[in-house]
Amino acid sequence: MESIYQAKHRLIQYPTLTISLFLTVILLIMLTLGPIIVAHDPFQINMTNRLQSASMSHILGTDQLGRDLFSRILYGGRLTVGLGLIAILLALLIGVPIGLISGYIGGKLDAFFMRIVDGIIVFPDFILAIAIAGILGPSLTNIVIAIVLVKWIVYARVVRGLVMAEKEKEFILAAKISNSSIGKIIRRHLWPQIIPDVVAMAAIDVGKVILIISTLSYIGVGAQPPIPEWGALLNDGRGYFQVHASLMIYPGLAIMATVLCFNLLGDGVKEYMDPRKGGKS
Amino acid sequence: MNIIELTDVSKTYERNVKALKQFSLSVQEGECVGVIGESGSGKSTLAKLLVGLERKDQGNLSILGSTVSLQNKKEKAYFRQHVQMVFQDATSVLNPKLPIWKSVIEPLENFKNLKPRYLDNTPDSALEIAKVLLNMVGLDQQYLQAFPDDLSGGQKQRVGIARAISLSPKLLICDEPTSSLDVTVQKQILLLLKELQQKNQMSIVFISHDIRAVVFMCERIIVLKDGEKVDEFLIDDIYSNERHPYTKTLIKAASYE
Amino acid sequence: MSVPLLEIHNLAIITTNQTSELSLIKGINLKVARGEIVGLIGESGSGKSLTAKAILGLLPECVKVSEGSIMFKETNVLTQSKKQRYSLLGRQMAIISQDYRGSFTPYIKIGKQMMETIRSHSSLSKKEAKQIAFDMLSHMDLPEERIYNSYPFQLSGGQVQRAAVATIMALQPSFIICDEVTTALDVINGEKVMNYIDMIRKKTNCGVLMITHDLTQAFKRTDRLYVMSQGEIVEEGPTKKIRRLPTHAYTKSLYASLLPLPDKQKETSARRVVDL
Repeated sequence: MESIYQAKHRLIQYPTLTISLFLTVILLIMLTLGPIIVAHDPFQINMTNRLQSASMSHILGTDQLGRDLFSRILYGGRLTVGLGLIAILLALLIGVPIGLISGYIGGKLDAFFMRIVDGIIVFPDFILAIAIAGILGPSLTNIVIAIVLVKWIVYARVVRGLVMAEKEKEFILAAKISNSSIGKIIRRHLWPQIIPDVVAMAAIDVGKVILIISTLSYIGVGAQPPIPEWGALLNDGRGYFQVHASLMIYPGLAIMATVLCFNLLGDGVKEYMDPRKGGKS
Repeated sequence: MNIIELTDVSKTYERNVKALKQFSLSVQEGECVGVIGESGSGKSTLAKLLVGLERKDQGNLSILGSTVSLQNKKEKAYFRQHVQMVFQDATSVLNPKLPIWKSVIEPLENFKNLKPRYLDNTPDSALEIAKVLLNMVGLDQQYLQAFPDDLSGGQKQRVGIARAISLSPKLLICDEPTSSLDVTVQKQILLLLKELQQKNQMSIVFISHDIRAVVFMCERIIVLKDGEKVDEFLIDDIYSNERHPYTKTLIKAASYE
Repeated sequence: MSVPLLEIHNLAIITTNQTSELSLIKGINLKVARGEIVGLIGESGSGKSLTAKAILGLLPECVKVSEGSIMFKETNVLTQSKKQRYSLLGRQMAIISQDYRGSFTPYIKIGKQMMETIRSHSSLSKKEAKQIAFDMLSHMDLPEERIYNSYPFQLSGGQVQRAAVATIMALQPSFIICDEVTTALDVINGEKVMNYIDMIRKKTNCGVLMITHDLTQAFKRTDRLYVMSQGEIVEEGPTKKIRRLPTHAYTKSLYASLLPLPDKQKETSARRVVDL
């Protein structure tokens, strides 16, 4: 077993991972504890207080309906980041098993899955997500469904590719001829080889998905008023950009920082799990 | 009964690549038969057919009385226990993410009710069993907790051999077991295989491109070229004039007198 | 003996990273005369390929020569500029390596590539270059017309390798390094290539340094032998002498690990007593 000291030493060896992990933890704590931190109700309209600049009571000011911007961003973050994580998790739950089975068993099953995947993958994922969300009707749930429908394909395909590369290796053949079951081979021999790539990919994708959710809400197919989703906040602030730019700047910064944080995390995880790919020896 | 009985076995891959043409082979109990073949001769296909990783297209194939269709669960378990293989590439023969002791006991894990004779005095603990297995192939127990990357090529191949013999198989297929190893290590591995064969009364099909290795291991040798058997001889007749021209070329290339 | 074609004196190579230096090979002394074929034998990681790269000036970035000289035709190539050394490759020095897949561009016909290579190193006309290419291919026992007009992917690995050797030999280099030539080839093709290199050597009187891990090949082909282990040359001498009487412990262990072929004279099977 690895001692705590060794674990610490490894974290120092991988600065990207350490820093991004630190930032992610801070972010998640802020979002989880959000309702306790903030002093204001994010939905409380107060027309006498509209478009205030930053002050002691409203540290990022208020919006066009007098709602506290900081509370709204924190609440919105719970939605945006939370839904991003849920969407990725669901996509992984569907895509990874299909990729594993399709890649390992091959044959007709593989051909069947891959035809479906090929059929969908010709569309750019973002456009496809807009189309699906548009058809299902504007709501946050539908956005998540749209993202899952688009993303599982990517995971299935990548995992299948990784499995195909691994499955002719001699240790897999050796497991096969010593009567290991398919389940055991997948669990014990394939899964550990592909998990670093899957985790790294998922971490980077969280950032991308957050961007998609925000964008869809921004263009109006996602979160509906008065839900303070980050993209929706941007959309709300759009009309006041010239008089009160902070309504767009702060949500924008929140999105940017979060996406950056998850991208860094993805790179860090990749480097940590597979040092050769990260350029370290 | 012969351990292996192949008659006119053919195997064709996609795009009509014929890997094996009308190949016949019989191996008796306790015998070590050598197959010499270069890359592209069909020797890897032969190895895979013999352990049931590939299916024949034509001909008759009987190994330990089984037709190697492996449909019946009981028959499959019997076949898997008694037909084992030593692989070519020492670098990929072990799962890089598993510690050595877990790799080495994997076959035995799959046969819950099997207790081979060599484990008579060993307690039923995975680590103890792994220790015995490593000991059988001359590896120190300090490597139990190590990972494959910590081992040299020769050591990895020893672990691979330990896995293969852990089920006390009747037949061992060796596909180029030493070609990825340094010359000084090669002989040690071959000696180990020989010793284990005599101790366990196994039959071995020893497949290699290296005529010196095959001659070192086997009494009877088959020469494979482009999927066909072109020559078969006992070691005493190696310089006989009846040898196929291809065999003569191989022998000439391998000698320096 | 007159001045050798190649003379390496006290060569040492190190690798450096930010913090430390690591010695890869040291104290290498090696000579190759004109018309001579010299073996450099050792196991993987012994430094033999690195020595070859140092001679050709193809060492990777992080590796450098820290000491010694490499005299080629009485000039120390280590003091020459990169451009000068580069101009030596082809007509002066050449390497035939085990990895032949990169030797031809996949989408240009072999013949055209051969002709261009020959012409870029000489002032021959297209017709003359083509004639030389044809000659070389037929020497290599290849169907010259067909190979000349084929793309690399239309040929077998052995044919591509032999065509690559033919191209290199067409330039008639005065010094050739053979780096594990036979490893990637099947026996028949390997023999053909080595026989051909031998023939060219006798014809053009070039020097050959043969790098191999295969004791049989070294015994069979070379005039003199250097045995390398862990970055140092541990034994050297005429091949015949080393075959008869290896002195260094490492050479002895290499020799001991060479598996025997049956004796041609004796006919009894009793000779195959195995020493377990």
